[in-house]
Amino acid sequence: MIERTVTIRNRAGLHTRPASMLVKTASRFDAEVYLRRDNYEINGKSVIGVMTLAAEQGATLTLVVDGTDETEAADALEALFEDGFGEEM
Amino acid sequence: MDEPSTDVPGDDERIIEGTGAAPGVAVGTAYRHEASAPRVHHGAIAPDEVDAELDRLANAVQRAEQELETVRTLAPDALAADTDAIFEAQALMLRDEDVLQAIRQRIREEKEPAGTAVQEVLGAHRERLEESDDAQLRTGADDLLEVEQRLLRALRRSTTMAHIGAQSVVVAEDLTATDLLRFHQHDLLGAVTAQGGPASHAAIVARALGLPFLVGAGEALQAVASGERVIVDGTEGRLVVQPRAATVEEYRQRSADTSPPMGRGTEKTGRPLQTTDGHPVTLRANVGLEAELDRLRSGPGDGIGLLRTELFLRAKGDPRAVPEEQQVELYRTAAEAAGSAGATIRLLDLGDKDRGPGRAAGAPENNPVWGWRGLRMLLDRPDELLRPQLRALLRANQEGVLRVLLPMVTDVVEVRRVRQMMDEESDRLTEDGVPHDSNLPLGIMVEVPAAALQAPAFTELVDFFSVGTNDLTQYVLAADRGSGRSTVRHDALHPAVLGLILRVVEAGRMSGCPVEVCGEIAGDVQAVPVLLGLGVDTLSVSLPSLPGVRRIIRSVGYDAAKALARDVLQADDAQAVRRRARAWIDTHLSPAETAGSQDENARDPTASD
Repeated sequence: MIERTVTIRNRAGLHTRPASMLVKTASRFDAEVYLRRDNYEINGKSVIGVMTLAAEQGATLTLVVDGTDETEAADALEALFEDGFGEEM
Repeated sequence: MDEPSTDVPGDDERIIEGTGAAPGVAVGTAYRHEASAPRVHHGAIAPDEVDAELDRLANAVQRAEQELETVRTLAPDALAADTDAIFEAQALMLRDEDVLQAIRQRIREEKEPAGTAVQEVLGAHRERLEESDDAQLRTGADDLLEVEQRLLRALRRSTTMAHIGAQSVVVAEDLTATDLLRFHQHDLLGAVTAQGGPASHAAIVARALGLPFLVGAGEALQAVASGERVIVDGTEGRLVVQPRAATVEEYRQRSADTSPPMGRGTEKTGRPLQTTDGHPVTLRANVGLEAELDRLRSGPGDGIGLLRTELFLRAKGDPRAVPEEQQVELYRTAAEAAGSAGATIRLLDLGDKDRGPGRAAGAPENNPVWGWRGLRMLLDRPDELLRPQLRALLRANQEGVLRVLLPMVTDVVEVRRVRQMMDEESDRLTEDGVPHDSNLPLGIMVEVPAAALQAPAFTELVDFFSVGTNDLTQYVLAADRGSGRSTVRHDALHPAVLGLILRVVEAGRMSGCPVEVCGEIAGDVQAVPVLLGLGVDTLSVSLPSLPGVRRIIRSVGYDAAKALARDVLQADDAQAVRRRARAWIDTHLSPAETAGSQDENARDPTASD
């Protein structure tokens, strides 16, 4: 199991479009993916769940990935956050 | 333009102006469509109804997904990044297993009807989003609400359309492409919306279905009640409520002249289409649905100028996976319907959303409209997409006159690669003893500004050019065609776009390479004289636009149109071009021509201008 801290960098936050990018990426892997904000944890493959994190720019989340391809999955997901989901930062 | 008198005592006739999004006229009964969420039955269900309720939910999810897919299918060109991202996100939301699980649990344990369970679960998520301090994140609640309403509508769809009478004109705040398709199954005659624009998915669908469609008629909702008699005029952009008998008669005359869209053989096929001063013009049809081929067969025409294969093949399943044999059949059908005038078949124009599942597909693009689509995708997947389609066309060509059109071309190198592959496939077919005809003209869509600017370089490699004004305009003006505030800027009659078209026409003329225009602009009454004046002598338009465009062509003088084109190239912006084109039409065409009330076969071709 891998745990990493990620920060929302894009200005608009984790709104619908980035949430769907995240879920599409997470769904490519076998590993289970969770995102935690404070005490609220959601399934990283549930787009509605990701949206309800309501994570604005600057918010810090914990990314939890567990499974055979967890390293690849964590890297791919972290890259999305780093890149601000390709949006204005 | 006739100004109807409105001061007759006791006269209830009212006229509401809007924008015509699909041409044609219909007289029918108004039906007010409210898009609000359907009411949900709140009582508990019996224990033995649980399984049936779970089935209803599963069916509704499937239907809602199909609806979304239908809308995407019908608007493959509208790859506006925003619209597409929304479709994609909505599809993901519908498939959200965690949420569906929660809904099923409520049905099972709380004995809630599916509708209630959907509302409870999605409502709770929505509330969470609405609490956010961040305005952008709160918009997620709107997206969720849309999904919720889509699901609720799907859950009770069997009853949704029950009260739509025959011969209806639907009047609504706004309509989606899916709404129109659904209403269309119920003998819909036309549609009017308070909002919306002519570039929307709904407008594309309305044109394909031949339904008169008026958009942006803001006052329509206040002015019309269900059951009132209305005339919707999608050509002139107006709605007449409670029309006088004389008005109805006037419109009936007019619509008798313009519909059915391909005419009933009133036009002599042998009579060449030309301007008043004898300049010949070719007018072809854009098609995307197999059903449209029948309408093509019944009318006079110069064949098919644009067959969108991604639409055509999608009717058979995944457009990327239709077997070669099946494609051969489809292209033969098209060739046969087009007759000796032939058919231009555009290779698959798929976008980011069609890349398919799996890790190999890579990360989604930020700007799919500028990204991996059209020929770029075909060249990256030659064995899966490009070669089978080229082979099918080479084989189908033996019985018809086909032309191949490449979508979204940027560089000459791309065309060279296609030429090479086409030669290779032709050789392979010969080796295998498969009948085919390698005399297959190859043309390119001029959509990317680079292709327009380099048109002279392309003339060495291609047999014809086809200007796709929809995408060209969006790239040249940096104005999204499908959604957002920039839509109003998306107008192909902008002098910058016209200048590029002229450049392509000149390159074509120097090298004997025909140039045609196949975007929506070719069916725009104000644009036709401008395009002719620029030297475009082949237009390809949607089926419903054919009669109107044909009439305009017959009533303009080529020399006068050239003067108009020179004039509008100097205009400041698209609005100025439109003003000048309108004024020109008012002075150069007789009112009888634009109203279409005169029998054109009886008319002296030199009478106007």
